[in-house]
Parts: sequence; structure tokens; C-alpha cells
Amino acid sequence: MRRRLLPGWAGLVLLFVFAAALSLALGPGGLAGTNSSAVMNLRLLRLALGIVAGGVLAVVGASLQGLLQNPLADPFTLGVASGAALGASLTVVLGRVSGAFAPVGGFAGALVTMLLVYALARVRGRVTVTALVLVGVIMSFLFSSLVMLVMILGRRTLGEAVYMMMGHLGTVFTGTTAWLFGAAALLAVIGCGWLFSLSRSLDIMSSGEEAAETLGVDTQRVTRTVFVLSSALVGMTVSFTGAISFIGLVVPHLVRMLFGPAHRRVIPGSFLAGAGILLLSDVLARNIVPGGLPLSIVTALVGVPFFIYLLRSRL
Amino acid sequence: MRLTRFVLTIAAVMVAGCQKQPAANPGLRVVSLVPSVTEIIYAVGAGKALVGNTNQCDFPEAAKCVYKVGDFMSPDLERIVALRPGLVLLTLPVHRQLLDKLTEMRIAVYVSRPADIKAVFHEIDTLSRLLGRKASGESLVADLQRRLDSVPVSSDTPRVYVEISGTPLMTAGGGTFINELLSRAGGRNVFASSVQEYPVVDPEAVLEADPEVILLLHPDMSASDVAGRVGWGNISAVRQRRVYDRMDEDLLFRPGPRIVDGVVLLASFLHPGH
Repeated sequence: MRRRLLPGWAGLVLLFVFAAALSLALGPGGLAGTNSSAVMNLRLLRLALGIVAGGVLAVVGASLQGLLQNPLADPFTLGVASGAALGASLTVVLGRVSGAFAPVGGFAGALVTMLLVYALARVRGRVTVTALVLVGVIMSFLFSSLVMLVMILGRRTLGEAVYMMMGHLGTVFTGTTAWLFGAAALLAVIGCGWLFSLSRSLDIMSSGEEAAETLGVDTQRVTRTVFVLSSALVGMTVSFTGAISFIGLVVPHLVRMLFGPAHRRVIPGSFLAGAGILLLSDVLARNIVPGGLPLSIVTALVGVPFFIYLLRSRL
Repeated sequence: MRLTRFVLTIAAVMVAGCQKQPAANPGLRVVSLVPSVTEIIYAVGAGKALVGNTNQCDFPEAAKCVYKVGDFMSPDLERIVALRPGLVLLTLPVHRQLLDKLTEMRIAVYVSRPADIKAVFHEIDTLSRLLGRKASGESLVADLQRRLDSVPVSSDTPRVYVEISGTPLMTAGGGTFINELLSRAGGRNVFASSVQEYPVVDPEAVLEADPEVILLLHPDMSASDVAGRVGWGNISAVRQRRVYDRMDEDLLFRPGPRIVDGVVLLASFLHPGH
């Protein structure tokens, strides 16, 4: 680690610790210490959910932006998040027993979306980055509509559809789903580690597919791996939290401003910053309005101005 | 000239609405867009006048066979108009746009929007007169009032958490019908202070409120699911096994003639001893 990067890392760690502490300290049940251990357990679970969701979304966003050489790519522009939301909604509506199978459905929905987008974007044996993003955006629209349709046909409340499409950390865990989340969190960390291990290939591919191929990178294989990993990670996350916007888009750019474009720094940095920013958003979302707001309201308020700035300065 | 005629017709419709007496006409064709109003129509014995209702109008059994004009949330204007109704019964804010269009087309409407049990009784009375069934309306109200009065008033009021959705957690606030039913049945809604009608609540807030009774008003979750939620084991209702599920929600959500059954049902959960 070069010395001039130290303040950046210290800042990210500080942001993360501050956000985590705030998220444990504040809640509708009062300040930490004045409430029961049951309340504290809920906050710890919520903290874990926030870290995994924020970390995963940002890491996946960073990897996809590198892979596609597209500053506007993130889990949502590829339709994976909406596909996961559709899968989770279908399991919730069809499975009359409990919500325990929603993560499995989300995972399946994301994988199917990934395969579909990949297949549709494949023209004459090659997958171009433009086709991928275009197909992804279109599928994203389709699946958002289908989530609404499934919820209406399943006679669910509109509130449930809204929270599925806009995200929240207020998931109520049962014993089963808590274990399921534990397993998902473990897989998420492994998946993020795997993406981190692809840093060098991503660095080379960021400078263009053809250049990467002449340098001996198997671009099709790296593309496939990043795609499968991303959809698996996002699928699991969305099934617990619903689809949270802009974290995957904005955070990697912030981290690149600190550290430059090298993925071996951008990926772990994105995990820390993504988790921190998502936790701060959640603290705002749940403490400003009684009962809380869908998370994407807060993340979009911060994310959209940044998105416009990116659009105008980088493109 | 045309304008004058238009204004006159509107005035005529409005006067008819104020006097609430178009029912002198025995061939009145009625369309009901509100499940609770459909129940009232049948309860006062005016079912024959009903020529159209919605997919959600499923009680009594006969209501299912009536021509459907669409969903409660999105009835089809064209189907309504094609029925040539003499009176359309609807509610706000759901049917706001429809109300404007029907008024424009000079079709008489009645807006059902009872705020409490008393208003439901008043509405049964009004509707029965509109439909020419004044006597049966009066006897129905008297009967309902008698049964409501027979529900004992209890000084011990347990704290109640009403759950209408599990993901995210949603409850009913102070301004809702169900809140009134709860207090009439001898319970205290722990989220009565909420300004929103059906707010999303933080799981933590439920733990803090420590309800003594939990009522699950959504079909996809059972009492044992709630008992298995992480951190909920210490809530009084869970410890004392007073989580109730799989009840007929329509008794509690529909401001119609079965509302007293709803109060009786709630009282049986809140005060099982009586």
C-alpha cells in the first residue's frame, strides 16, 4: 500500500465504523443501552444486512463498470436486480407457507435474468458491451412491471410491491431465514473475494476488449464469471432487502476518485464505502419518518445529482 | 340554452341526491363499486336492483353472480355506462376520477365513506331509503345496534398490535376503521398515534410497544411463524400465546352490515373469558 493512499483508507474505515456505530445506537426503540437485548439483536441483524447489501451492491457495481467500460453500469442497468425482485416476489406469492424460500427465488430470478440477457445480447457468437447494457435496461423495465403484476394478481398489498422494488432493511427474520441469511452472507463474502481475485483481468479489460485479448486475457470467460458471480450476489441480496438503487453506481466512482482505477483497490474500497453509505442511508430512512421510508428514496436523493454530474463531466 | 339545460339537469341530479329519493322508481338499476355497500344492498333486501358490481364483491353468495364491471380499485367506466345505471355507488379516494366522469355524464352517484360504526348505521339507513327498503333498513339497524350494545364494555384493555402485512411490517393507525372496532371490542391499538392510515412499522417499534395481543390480518403467515421471529420471543403476546391468525378479515375491513360480527370476533380474542 502506497503511503499517499493511507488517508483515503483511513477515511473509508472511519466512515464505515461511524455508520455502523450510528446504526446500532439509533432506532425507534430509543438510544442504545436504554433498551432490551432483543432490540439490540434486531439492530445487529439489521447492521449485518446493511453491510452485506451495501458491500455487495458496490462491489458488483465496480466490477461491472470495469468489465463493461461503462461508467453508468450497475446491477440495475443489467436487469439483474429487477429479475431477482421478480423471482423473490413469485416465491412469496406462490409459496403459501412462509417467506423462507424468497432468497432461493431471488437467486433463481437473478440467474435466469443473467442467462436471458446474456443470450439475447449474443449476436453472431459475441457479446458486445452495448448490446448487454441495452438488453439489460429493457429487461429491467419488463421485470419491474412483472413484479407489480405478480403482486396485484397475488392480492398482496401495494406497500409490499413498493418495498420490494425500492428496498429496505426492515426484514423480519425467523430462525430459518436468519440461518439462510447467515449462509448468504458467507457466500457474499466469498463472492466478493472472488471478484477481487479477478482485479488484474478487470484492469486490463477496462482498457478495451481487443487490447485485453492481445494481452492474453480470456475476455469471454472473465465476462461470464463476473456475470454469474454478480447475479448470484445481487440475487441473494435483493431477496432480503428488495432492490436498492444507486449504491452500485455511485460508490465505485467515489472510490476511484480516492484511489484511481486499479480494481485491487477499488473493489475492497467499494465494499467498505458501500456498506457505510447504505448504513447511513438506512439511519436516515428509519429515523426521519416514523415507520421508515423505502431506502431507494434516500439513496436516489443523493445518487441522482451525482449521476447527473457523472453524465455531464465524464461522457 | 344548452348550458341552461345542462345546469338544470345537474341541479335535478343534485336535488335528487340531497333528498335521496330516486327509489320511488321500482325499476332502479344500481351499480355498486364497493364490497361493503354491496353487502348493505343485500342485507336490506334490495339485491334485485343490483345490475353490476366488482370482482371483490363476494358476499353474500348471490353477489358473486352479478355482472362484474372490473376490480374495486379499477372499475371499467365503459362497462358501468353500458349497464345504463340509475345510481352508481362508489367510495373516495379510490373512485375520484370515476366520480368526476359520472357526474359529467349526469349519472346519479352516491359516495360511501363511513368514518365509524355510527356512520355505517346511518349509511344503511340512507341506502335503504334510496332503494325503497326503508322498513328493512330500520329493523336491520335496530338489530345491529342491539347486538353491538350486548358486547360488554371492559375496563381492562390489552395492548394490541394489528399486522396487515408481514413484508414489510404494516399496521393500522388511529384513523382507521379497525382501530375503532378494536377500542369498541375492548382493546388498545399500540400504533393508534400514527398519523398514517396504514403505516409501515419498524420491527423494533413492535418490540418496544410489547403488545399483549397480536392479530394477523394477512393470510400468508401463521401464529407459529410470528412466534419464530428473531427477537419476538419476549413479546407478551407471544409468551402468553395470544397471537391470532386466519380470521375472516372482511369482517374487520368492510364497513358494512357484518361490522358488528367483527366487533364480536375481536372481543372474543381480547376477552376470551366473557
